[in-house]
Amino acid sequence: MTRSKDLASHLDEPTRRAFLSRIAAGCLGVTTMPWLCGAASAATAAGTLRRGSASRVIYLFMSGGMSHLDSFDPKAPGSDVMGPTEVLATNVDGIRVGQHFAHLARQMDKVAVLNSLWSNQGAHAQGRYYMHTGYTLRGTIRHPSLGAWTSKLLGPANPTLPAHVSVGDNDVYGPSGGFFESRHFPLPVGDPEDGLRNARLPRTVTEERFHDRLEKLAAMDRAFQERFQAEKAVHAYAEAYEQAVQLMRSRDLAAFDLDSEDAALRDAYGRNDFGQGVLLARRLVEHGVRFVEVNSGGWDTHNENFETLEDRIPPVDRALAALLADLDARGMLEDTLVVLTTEFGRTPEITRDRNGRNHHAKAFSSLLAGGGIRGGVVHGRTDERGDEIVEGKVRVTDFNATIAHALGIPIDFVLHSPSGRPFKVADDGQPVLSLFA
Amino acid sequence: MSESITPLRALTLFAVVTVFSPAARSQEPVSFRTDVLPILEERCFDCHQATRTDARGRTKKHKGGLRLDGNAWILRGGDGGDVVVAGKPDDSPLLTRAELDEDDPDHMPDRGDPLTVAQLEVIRRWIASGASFGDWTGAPLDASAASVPVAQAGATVPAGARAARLLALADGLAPLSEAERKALGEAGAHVEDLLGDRRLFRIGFPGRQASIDDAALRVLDRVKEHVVELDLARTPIDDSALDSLARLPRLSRLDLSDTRISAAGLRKLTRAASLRTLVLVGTTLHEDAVGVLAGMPHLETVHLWRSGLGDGELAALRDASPQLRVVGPPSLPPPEAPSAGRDGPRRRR
Repeated sequence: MTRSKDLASHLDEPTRRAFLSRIAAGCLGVTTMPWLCGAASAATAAGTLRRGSASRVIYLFMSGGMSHLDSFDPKAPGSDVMGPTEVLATNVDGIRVGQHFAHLARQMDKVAVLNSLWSNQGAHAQGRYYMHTGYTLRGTIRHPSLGAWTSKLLGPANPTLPAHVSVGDNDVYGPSGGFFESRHFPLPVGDPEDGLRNARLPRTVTEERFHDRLEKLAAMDRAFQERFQAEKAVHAYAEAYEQAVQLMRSRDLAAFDLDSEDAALRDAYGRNDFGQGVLLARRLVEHGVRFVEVNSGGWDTHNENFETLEDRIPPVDRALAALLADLDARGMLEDTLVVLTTEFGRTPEITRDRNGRNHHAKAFSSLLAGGGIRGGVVHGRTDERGDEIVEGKVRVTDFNATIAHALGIPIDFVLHSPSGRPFKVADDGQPVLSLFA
Repeated sequence: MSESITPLRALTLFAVVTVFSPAARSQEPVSFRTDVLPILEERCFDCHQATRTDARGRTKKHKGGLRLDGNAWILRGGDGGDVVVAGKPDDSPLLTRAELDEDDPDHMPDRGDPLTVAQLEVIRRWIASGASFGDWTGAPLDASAASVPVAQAGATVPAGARAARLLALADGLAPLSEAERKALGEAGAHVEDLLGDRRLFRIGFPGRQASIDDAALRVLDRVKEHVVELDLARTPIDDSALDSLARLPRLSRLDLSDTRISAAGLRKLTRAASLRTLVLVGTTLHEDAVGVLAGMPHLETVHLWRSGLGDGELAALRDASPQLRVVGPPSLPPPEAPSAGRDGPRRRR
């Protein structure tokens, strides 16, 4: 029972017991996880597997709400909903993109466009939180984001590196461990060019002195640890130390160092925070980090939508185009899922006074590539104004379930919050199976 | 053919369509209602119309997620995407699949005789002239239209292709035992279960590459039936490791990036029965590798960026093996013009 073993070894003891007993029940034909039980269930239906081929995820988040009309769901150029935005043909017949995606236009054969995302959260914090966690924001609980679920249920691929990393300015509504243990929270990297800060010993501290210090720390903590050994928080504290030391000693610390990348490649990704962040993400997944989120801010285009996008899109266009070409050349596209998403779209109406677009949650766009996703595909459709979805609605939870499916995270698996409430990786979402090869 | 159509009636329809249809006789414009619809009704509707109960009380659902009994349904397409691309008959599966050889598994109609040359010509001309439905609407879309929501522009891979390949590889294979699975973990392998049922695995050694040598790879012998993807990038292995790898019967994908392998080692992989993808980025190959790679029987994709092979050698490989996807350096965005200044805020230092 490989899969269950994998999962079970990363769960806490009570959860693990519950988990294993559920599998036992499942194999007797009673309950929810038939794919853990044997060969007969490898496929759900002809041609559809239980999972995609992703082992890792690069998740690019356009914070503020990316206009779908000016990016991946453009309408007739010159129509009133398009304003001055022109439309580009791509290397796939029938797929068109907004004018500032000139580099990505040449990589669309690797990309699946989803033009029918639907959310019911039209405010930034709420929308961002919903997209990341699949649950709506409320006062009594913090839910884990997709990266935390990946860390918790699949664990690290490289045991000396964290499973979950966040690059750029992410706030509390972005990637988070939620109610999971501290090790599932993302390791934050603020500035990709600085890499991991404080990960090397100061020159004055030798390896022996450091070892000595750790021993003293352990000695001082021992009585406290023993007395409160049932306390999760106490464990988490000690664990954080252990992980930090492990990371400091990892051979793979070089993963965080962009200086080892070829200068021409660094130029291709774009010499800016986002471009270098995306390049860092590629290095990290290459070294066995499971889930890396890179944040791009400034997409809240209430004012001067078109001028703002002229600045916002090019770094993203460049970095994503470089990433897809780079991953493909390295043979990494098969097992790396690339996601580009946002909290909601923007209105087809262009405001007269501010030349902007307002929030639009009932129809927006995202991209998926790699990880067993078919390229050159468009899923779903909006009406001729980009206002309402007319075909293939994908709820936020369905989108997250699709990501989980790509990774092989079981979408029906339940974990309980400290207060005993049941949660799943994508709530009740269902993966869009037609996107998979 | 549905129960209600007698052979005589079918023959009559056939005669009407092929002989008397004005469009079939001349180059006059094709009318959907009088020329195309009768063909669809006779030969396609049986499998591609609304879910219904047949004469024997069996429920018949439309096949392939495709209905042809309404203009909106035809435009919507099926599980495989569009069936009619207006103006492009050769890109329209409604026609191309009917034109396939009768022995082809994708040939349509699935049962009965192939469409006649005249019928194919009518459909071709209808699509070429813009695939107008005139005043015909047929059955409107209903709620079930939303359940298979696909609008495919130019899918590079058909849905389920990877799935079909993996399931074929796994056919008849028993799941890996717990003891063997454990041995892999103890040897430092990171294991991904590709089907979720313990039969096929992706194996790598992230974080432990430096300690992977021929001896460490012996653990693979115990699980050799189950290894489908193997990542040995950045390990210190050399040609000597490839003897045992060539004996992995289901090995489909092998990553040897940043290793010291040479053409002599690759030659051993010619015996690998299932090898489809080979990743050789960051290696130091010479031109003798071209012939070896061209001679690999099942190889579909080879990644050769920074492999020591130059443009000329990659071109020679493409010539020698036209079926092979030879992936060279990535086509990266060109460097920004120094004055562009639009790629976001500049670095401060």
